[in-house]
Amino acid sequence: MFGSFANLISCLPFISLEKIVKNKSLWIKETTNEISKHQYHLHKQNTCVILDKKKLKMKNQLNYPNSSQLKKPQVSANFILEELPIEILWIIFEYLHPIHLGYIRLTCKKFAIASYDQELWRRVCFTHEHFFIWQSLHIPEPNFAFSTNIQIVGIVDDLWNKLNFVCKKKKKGFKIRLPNPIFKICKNELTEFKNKKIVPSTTRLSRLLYIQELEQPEQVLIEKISQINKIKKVVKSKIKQNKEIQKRNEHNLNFERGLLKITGIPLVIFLYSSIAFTILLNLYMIGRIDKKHRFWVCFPFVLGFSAVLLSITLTVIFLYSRYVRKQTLIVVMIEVFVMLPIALIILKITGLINWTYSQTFIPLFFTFLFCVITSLLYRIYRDLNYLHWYYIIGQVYLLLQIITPFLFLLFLALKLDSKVNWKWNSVFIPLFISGLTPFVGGSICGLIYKLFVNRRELFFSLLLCLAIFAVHLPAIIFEILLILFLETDSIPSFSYVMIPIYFFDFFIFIFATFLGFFWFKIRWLK
Amino acid sequence: MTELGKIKLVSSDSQEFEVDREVAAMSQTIKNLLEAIEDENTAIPIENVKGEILERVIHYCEHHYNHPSPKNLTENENEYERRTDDIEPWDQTFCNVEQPILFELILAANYLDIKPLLDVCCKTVANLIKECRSPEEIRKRFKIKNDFTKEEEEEIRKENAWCLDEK
Repeated sequence: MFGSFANLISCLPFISLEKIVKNKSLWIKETTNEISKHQYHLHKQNTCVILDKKKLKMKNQLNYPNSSQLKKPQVSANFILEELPIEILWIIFEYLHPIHLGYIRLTCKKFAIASYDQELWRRVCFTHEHFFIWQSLHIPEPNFAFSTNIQIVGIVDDLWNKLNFVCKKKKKGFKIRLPNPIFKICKNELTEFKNKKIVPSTTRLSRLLYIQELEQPEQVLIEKISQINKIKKVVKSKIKQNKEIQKRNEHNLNFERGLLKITGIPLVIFLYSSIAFTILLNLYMIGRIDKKHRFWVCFPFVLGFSAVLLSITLTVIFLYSRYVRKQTLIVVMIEVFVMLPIALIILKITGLINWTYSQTFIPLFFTFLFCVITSLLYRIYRDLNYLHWYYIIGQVYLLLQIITPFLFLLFLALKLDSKVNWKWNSVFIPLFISGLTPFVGGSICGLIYKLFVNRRELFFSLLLCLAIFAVHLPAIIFEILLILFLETDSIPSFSYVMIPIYFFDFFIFIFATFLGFFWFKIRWLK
Repeated sequence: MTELGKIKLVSSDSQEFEVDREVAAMSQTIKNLLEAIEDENTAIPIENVKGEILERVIHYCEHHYNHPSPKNLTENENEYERRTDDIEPWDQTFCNVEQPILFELILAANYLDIKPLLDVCCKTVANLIKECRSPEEIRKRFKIKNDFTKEEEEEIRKENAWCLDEK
């Protein structure tokens, strides 16, 4: 019975792993998109350099206006900047750097109102050079809400987090790839902060970045040639950095893929340990193992099971704590749901607690109820739009699959506490139903569906039926033998009862080996 | 009588200017007007612009008509990045005037709808602002009165803490 139970539980890690893999592939797509965007930007920078050269040629042909040509101004009143209409102010402000727009807000009321425009801020922040930083670090575009100051600090905050993250990953102090000039100043500042062991305030960091930009020579026309060379260098270094970032990303992805593969190892351990558990159980039932060592019979199972749960938790926390915190919570919840009943049952079997069986099974009942309700609701929600007869049959079948073990556990608890005087065969009836339905009802229904409704993946569904058959047949034979052993004396030793389980173990062994070496491709990371 | 292919522009203080039709057509507003008016000899009144400013605008248009700038090529770039350091040398000296005149030029360029002139002037003003390192400096440079109450100023100062010195 533990065999079939373990079979049920072993499905859990698959579901979560599959989800993780799916999400990961999405994430990979996004990052590659960002990289291509980045390249596009670089391309633009290149064309800019060429244009600068053209301008240089033009310079000789241009006539400078003669100052004597223009009359001295007759002073057209005291016309000041404030008197310009707001539309024109917006045009002017669009050319400003965010920091100057901040200054403008502080000068007078009219300007405060004029500069308090969301669209204006968005344009200013997104068209300026410094946004290159966010792009090159693959920080997603910040969400622009209305309150301007929070956004700016928020962006820098994000940068700071990203820097921190990069630093942590590298583990060699502050090795950060940023656009060159900013990189230099950042590096100095950051090492300074590192030595003092304090975290710079975001305002300080933002100021740092903005000031750095202001100090770059603004009048490009004065030193055009040197400037062009500089820009060339910057573009080159940017291209280099881009490549490095790509490399780093690939490295990260490889690492994360490796982690996913590693999560397969505990699963394999679990499968092998369940084989060890069945052998130990057999030895115990025959009487080769003393009653004192009951705990050690369960030990392999506990070990494998906890290894699986631990690996799932670690994977989710490591990969997703940065992005989604909800998932971590859900996984931990599920673990408590699954772990608690199992732990209680093992404690009861090993005799460490003196509860009755019905008491020990209460958490397990809750877990089952939870599973039934959530799966039912989910399925109803999912298939609401296409309720055909084959879907309904599928639902009923699945419901049966979940409810029958529940009933079995209920009967088992009552029987073990000797509250009912049923025979063992009546206790096992629900389990027979759940065991027989897959390849009688389920596979036939599935085949009919595949044959008449949807001919695709017929081979796969046939394979699936065969697999279900292979899994369930030994379990059913085991159950029959167990009943015979408990009710009659026709079977002399418990070892005979365990024979189907060894078949089952054989399948598990093949499956685990296949899983370990082909599916997850376990190998040491480079 | 005006010469062939020339038109007359009259400023708000009734000064008259003779301009090439093509040159005047750089202003979208005048271009539209010319299409509407059949009689070529009528002087076009430009009421919102003073003679002194109109003269400068015409000067600008004439120069750029004779020396078409390679700006058209960079137009795509402007969407991506707004630079203020790409003003041509001639334009720089053209815009190197007193503030009131510069602002009048902006208004005139806006009224006459001459986009390159408007851009150049706005960029110049933006550059003037960029040279300032604090709100006080901006106020001094542009003769702006501080009309905030103390509380108001404090509030905005708090909001803008990220761009001010931490003292």
